Amino acid sequence: MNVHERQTTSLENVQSWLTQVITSRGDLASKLKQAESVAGSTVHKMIQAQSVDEQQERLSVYVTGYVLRLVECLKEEYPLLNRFLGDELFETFAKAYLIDYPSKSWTLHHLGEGFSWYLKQTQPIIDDTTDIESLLLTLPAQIAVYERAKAMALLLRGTEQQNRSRWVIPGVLKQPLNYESWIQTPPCMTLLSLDYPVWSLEDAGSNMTFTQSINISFDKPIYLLISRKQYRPINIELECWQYELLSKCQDMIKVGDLLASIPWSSRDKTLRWLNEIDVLNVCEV
Amino acid sequence: MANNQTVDAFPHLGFGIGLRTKHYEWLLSHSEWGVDWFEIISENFIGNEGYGRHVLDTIRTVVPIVMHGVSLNLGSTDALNLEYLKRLKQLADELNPKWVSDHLCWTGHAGINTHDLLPLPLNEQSLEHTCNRVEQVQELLQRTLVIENPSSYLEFKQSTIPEWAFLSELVDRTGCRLLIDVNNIHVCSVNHGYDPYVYLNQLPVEAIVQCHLAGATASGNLLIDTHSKPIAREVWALYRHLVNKTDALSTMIEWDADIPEFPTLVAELNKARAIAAGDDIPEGLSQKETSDHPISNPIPI
Repeated sequence: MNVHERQTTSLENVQSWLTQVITSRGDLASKLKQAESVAGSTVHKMIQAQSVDEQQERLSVYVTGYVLRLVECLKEEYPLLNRFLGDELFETFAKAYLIDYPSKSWTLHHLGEGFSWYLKQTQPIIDDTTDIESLLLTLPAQIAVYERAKAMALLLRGTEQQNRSRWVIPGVLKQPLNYESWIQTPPCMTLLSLDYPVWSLEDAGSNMTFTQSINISFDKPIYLLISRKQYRPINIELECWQYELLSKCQDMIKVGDLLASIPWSSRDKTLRWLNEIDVLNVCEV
Repeated sequence: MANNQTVDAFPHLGFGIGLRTKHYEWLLSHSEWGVDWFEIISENFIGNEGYGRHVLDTIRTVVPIVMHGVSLNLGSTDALNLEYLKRLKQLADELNPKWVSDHLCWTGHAGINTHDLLPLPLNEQSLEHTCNRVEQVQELLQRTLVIENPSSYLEFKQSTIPEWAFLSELVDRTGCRLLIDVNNIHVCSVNHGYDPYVYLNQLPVEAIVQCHLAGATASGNLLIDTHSKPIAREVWALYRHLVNKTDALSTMIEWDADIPEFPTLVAELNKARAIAAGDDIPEGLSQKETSDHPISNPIPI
């Protein structure tokens, strides 16, 4: 075996070659060509097989399985988007996303992280669209933002795990109010500003006409809180001041400082509302 | 090898099942589960502070658990992912599993994770490389690692060592233990044309601490490790052979696609109990041809 042969059959080269075969774009022939250009080796030098058909059958288990396995994961995370787009269109976007941005994380919790961004990047830029056209182009990315927030609501730390958190008193602000208490939104909570009330699609049937069932609103943003209580997901539609108030709580803030940031006349209303929704972490000192 | 576990640290756990999301409600609403222990997928619980962790914390107060990983990327020429290993150790320190396992495989190269368990060319170079990695991981985790034989659909021309010899050498050089997936041996014996009994007979029996059972699916000329079916008769026969060679084998069933209700899984597990107790091998389902693309190693969630 000469030096070149040793290099092209080294462990690193074998792994580089198979990774290219599995993750690069196109049909198997294109993938093999790409792998050869990167790793400098052909399938005949790599895979034990009696025939080309056998080589292809064996490689196809990995090539096909890679895409199917990860598309299934994205379908699990984005069921509403899948229903909205239908299987064929959803899979087209999902496969393109996986090819353009292959996973570099050890956890599948990160796999769908960039999907809404990807959908937004692939939106065509068209002048003079109608409201319905605009809705159809922009809604998929917004559904993906909403569903990603729901997935994180179920995964990240909430207000239930008191004993594993320094946030010893969950939820309700105690009376009399301790202005030195710290307050913060839990990691499981996401605050969204959306153009459409995408959550209303959750109740629609599988064969509904989405553009008819959604209450289109182009004039002002819609604010939404996504979190969980006792491990159950919750959505709360917010008014603008509520969204701004909770946004201030995404970093730890003292209750006194939070109240000082809002008009004196609104404080009672604000405290009543915070107690009603009962979704924050509060730490008494 | 720097770790604190001894032979006694690998107790016989009995008969277990892989913990999956589908069964959370059933498990919390029943007090009799019919299983002795659970295996969790490590990556599903790293950074998980939701309902899954709540269920796991409830379960592990009742029965032992073991942690089974799919992202260690043991055979890869990429550098070990120290952030992953740090979080894996943190989880193990929190959960106190009976042991931590992963696969003789690699999952990606140049930073890419295919989330598949890819086969290694089995030769001196990869053996030395894998031994070094196992020793590093054991040092970082401060535990003896348990390593599983993977299912595979291709062999590299660069391979010069049979898998059983590779695993035996790995055990000798690093002190690691083995998780033997009997279904994977069956799948590979069909796909690569070897005698599965020769494979089993050559393994260092004293190093085997756990066994996986699962169902496979035939597709074309290959058998695919789909974890989607009852266990085949050939696999039960191999299991009987393995059980007869070992004193006490912690046994579990993996079922990750078309997952049945929990009592159905327990019924399948009870067949393993019966075989280990000396009963006849049950009639397994035949592995019928499928027209779809069956997925090997489906994501366990």
